[in-house]
Amino acid sequence: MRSWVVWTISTLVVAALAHVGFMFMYPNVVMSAAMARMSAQGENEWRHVARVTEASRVVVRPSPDLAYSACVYNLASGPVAISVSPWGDYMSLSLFAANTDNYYTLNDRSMPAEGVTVILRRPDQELTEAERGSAFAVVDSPSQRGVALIRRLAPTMERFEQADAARRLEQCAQLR
Amino acid sequence: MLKRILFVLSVLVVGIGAGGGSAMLMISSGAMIGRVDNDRWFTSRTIGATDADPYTRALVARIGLLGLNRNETIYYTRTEDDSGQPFSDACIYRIEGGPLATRWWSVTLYAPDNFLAVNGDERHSIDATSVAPDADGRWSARIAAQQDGAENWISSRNGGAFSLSIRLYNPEPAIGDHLGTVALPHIVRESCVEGAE
Repeated sequence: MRSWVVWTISTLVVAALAHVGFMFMYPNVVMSAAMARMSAQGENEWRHVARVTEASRVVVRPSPDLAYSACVYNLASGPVAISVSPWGDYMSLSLFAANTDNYYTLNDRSMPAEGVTVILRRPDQELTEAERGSAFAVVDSPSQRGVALIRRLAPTMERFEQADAARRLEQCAQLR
Repeated sequence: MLKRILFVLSVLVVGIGAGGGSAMLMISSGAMIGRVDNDRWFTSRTIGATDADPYTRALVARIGLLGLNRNETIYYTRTEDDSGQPFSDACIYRIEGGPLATRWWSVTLYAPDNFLAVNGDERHSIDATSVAPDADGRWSARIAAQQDGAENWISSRNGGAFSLSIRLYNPEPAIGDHLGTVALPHIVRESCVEGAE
């Protein structure tokens, strides 16, 4: 076979592999950078984001009508417990894997009025019966690290201040 | 030997460059296998979903990181007015909509860097609680650099070639089942400063 034919076929194969590899890596790289920014003060703890303004530059396309709380979780040392306080309007707890997938969401319509505790773990991490009993849900994370995010509808400063008070009672911490 | 090394090196450099470059081009051009167009708005059936294709996942990472899946929230984005012209902060627009079968909605303006426009106006969005619909549920708002007395206003000042996102929280199943045909707000360009497009 002529060398230019071999060169062309080889280059096309490398290009296809690079294309696929880049596509699969890109979300993980972007998510990893975002997690690094969100966890600058530590993992397994809530970061209550100030009211979204034009100065908010951590995550793209933020909504100025929502109050956000983010916790970068790390299950390396065991399960993590997440508690959610009630809110008298739309709110949701959503969990994101390291590849950006939103693999679990719970909103105010699907949780008890008094709030909930959700235990997050890797599939191979055991829980005691008491631990299981204390949780509204036990969720298996597809990745060791990821992001828990709470959104509360708070389009005015008054509602934002109320949301801020409610979220101060929440927990994102290692279970034991 | 040198010839062989050059052969391998050129294959790697050109191949990786072409593969990586084409991937970045697809991400920056907004390619989504699950893309659904609705008039000038677009969304994806798989944003945030665990079965999202790699292209959607990459696009979400670029412009919609930490977006919810469509059972919880549906996001539409657009970059053009009703006539197909790209949005510009040098123009004045009117956004007009009707009732949306969702628990709560908002429309937010973003600068080309995918963050809120830096203008000090603190009028980056309108939402279901801020507009006053008429008896038929119709509402409208002005999108422009200046408020000019408008009650409902989204500031586009310093927004450049901006884009808009509409968020539909807890949408009725009818929306998810008809992503491409559900009635969404229209955006009409009313005027532009001379020389702007």
